[in-house]
Amino acid sequence: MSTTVSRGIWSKFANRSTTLNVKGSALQNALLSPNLPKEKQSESIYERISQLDKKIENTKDDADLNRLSQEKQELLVAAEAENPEVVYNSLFASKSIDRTQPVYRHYLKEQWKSYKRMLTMQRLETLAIIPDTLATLEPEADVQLKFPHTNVDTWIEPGEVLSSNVTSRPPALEIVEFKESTKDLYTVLIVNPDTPDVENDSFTTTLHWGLKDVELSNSDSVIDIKKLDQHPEYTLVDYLPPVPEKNLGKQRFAVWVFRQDSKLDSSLAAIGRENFDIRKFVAENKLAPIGAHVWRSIWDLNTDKVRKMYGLPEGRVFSRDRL
Amino acid sequence: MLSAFTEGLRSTVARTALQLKQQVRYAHKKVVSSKTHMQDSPGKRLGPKKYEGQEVKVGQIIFRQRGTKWYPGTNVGIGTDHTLFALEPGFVRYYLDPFHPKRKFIGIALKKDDKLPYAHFDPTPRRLGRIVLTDNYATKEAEYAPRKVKLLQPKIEEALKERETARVAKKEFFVKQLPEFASLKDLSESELSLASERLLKIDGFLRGGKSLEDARYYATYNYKYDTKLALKRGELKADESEVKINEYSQLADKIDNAVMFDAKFQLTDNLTTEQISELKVEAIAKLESLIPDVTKPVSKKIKEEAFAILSKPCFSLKEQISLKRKFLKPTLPESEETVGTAKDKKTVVIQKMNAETRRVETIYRKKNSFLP
Repeated sequence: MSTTVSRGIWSKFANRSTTLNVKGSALQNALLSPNLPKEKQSESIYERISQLDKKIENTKDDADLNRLSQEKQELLVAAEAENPEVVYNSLFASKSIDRTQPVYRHYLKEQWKSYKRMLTMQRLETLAIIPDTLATLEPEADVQLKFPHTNVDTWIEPGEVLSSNVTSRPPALEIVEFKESTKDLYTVLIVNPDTPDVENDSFTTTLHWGLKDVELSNSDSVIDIKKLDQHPEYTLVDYLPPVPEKNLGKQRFAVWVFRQDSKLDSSLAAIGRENFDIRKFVAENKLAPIGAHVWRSIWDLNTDKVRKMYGLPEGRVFSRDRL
Repeated sequence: MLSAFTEGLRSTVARTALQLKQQVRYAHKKVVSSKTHMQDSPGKRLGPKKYEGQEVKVGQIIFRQRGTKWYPGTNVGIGTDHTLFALEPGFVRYYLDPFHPKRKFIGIALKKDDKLPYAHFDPTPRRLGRIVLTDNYATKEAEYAPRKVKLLQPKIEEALKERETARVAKKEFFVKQLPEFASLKDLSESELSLASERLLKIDGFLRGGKSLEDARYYATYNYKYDTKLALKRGELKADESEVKINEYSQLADKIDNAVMFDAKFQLTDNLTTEQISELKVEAIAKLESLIPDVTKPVSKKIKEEAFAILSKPCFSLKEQISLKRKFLKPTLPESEETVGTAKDKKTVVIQKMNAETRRVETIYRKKNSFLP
């Protein structure tokens, strides 16, 4: 085993972030041998990036700037994608990765596309979240969900059936963006399209939780109770836990995440829970859906307790057989 | 010669002529039947049983067929013999679906004027199909549980009871233990009960994998949330709930400053992050002076001293394990001091693969090469 480390661009951290490094010198020795074939190529890409930076300084047109910064992101990925240290980190330390680095986001996106995106879309389609809540989804971000007030602190797979005890307090979300994001605003809606409408012998949609203008970035992507405690203005509609009534089967709770162009109207405060038209709300506020999640709830022995906790009226009992 | 031949020919011709005259037809039966004989069967009454626009109830048969000449569409099911039947009450529709251009469908529209297929990107019209039970029916149905659930129920209740008793016991233990800490001596009974409930919650969160800081935060948050819900239910007034929350956060601060849980979930004096890092440096320095060379054997006394240092509350379980692996190796590396030359009472025989020679070698390890 060689004990020397490459002295090329991948060992210099004057212009590069130190998060592109691996922890531990033994590991570094093993990974960064001298004369790596792609290192020279990476050096030339960094030269192109510095030329691009000068170009960006001189341009003032917004469209041009967008195009150039997009080009820069792609070059930054190309320059580091073959770096053994980066590859190691993205393979074995993907949970503690620095998401402000384009190359790590690139690897995270690949990982997401290979399994989680497919799983989420499959669950959304088979459970008919699409088209029962919104027409369709072109997923751009990874949406993760958990209920952290319980002792068991795990992320939930889309489509899982949860006990009403677990869902009795608001969840925490993580929105992993794969594009560069420094100060984006997000809306989160949780809707139940399976609320019974006895009068019309049909179903309506209920809004269970609404958040608006939540500011997130690549480095700070979690929406949890701590954040909501600090920013009470984020809450649009308070959390109403799932309390399905007996004999109504599993109800779907669709979590929709939208990216906003600008801050939402402040007059939204009087928004109603019952008969919530999510399509109309999305169209009116020009929201772009970027990700979704879903869990299911069914009547269980804890539902009455949750109803009492929130001061809700006692649940109705429906006929066991369909008529 | 020629005459003899012609005579012979003439005689054979005469014999066959005689035979033809004498041929007889005997009674017999044909052995094989014709391939196309007797192949007809009665008609199977296939075809449509309900026509376009006709009203149907659940389960009514709409179409009998061999194979899927028609496919089941919206609200229509298909049987093992490809019979199509209604899954919802409604109106029969025979239709084509642009998503499957080679198929013909039969579906049920829920309303008389509905057209099929329903718009692809719109929410699917669905029927609830259940009624709200009232009076006796409702109470009866509310009590009903499937047989499997009923059989399980006593076990669940017992498990819940066990869990509750364990919780109460732990709470009582905290109630007894808390006044032992100097700054918590003057807690009143109600405060003690509230404090031990908080510790119970924190203990649960820590066991579930949360950090101490998060566990404390969520314990406070849960209390505040419950108080706000009580306010919403009308059990508390606004000022009352505020007072309650204030009192609780003061108590929480007092407890958090006094006690914390160590790596093995035992209550100890609280340590700030600076104190923890100081203690860590101190403890590691002590360990290094105690075991200057990790490749040398250690005595039982030194091992116990090292373990005592490791179990200090400044280390997390992860740190304890990594330090143990560093300083107290279960088997020391091979050296002159730890490898013997022959089998005797003081050595242990170990078979070991030598990667270079590709041979299994016998090694005599002295007993001091293992942790006492």
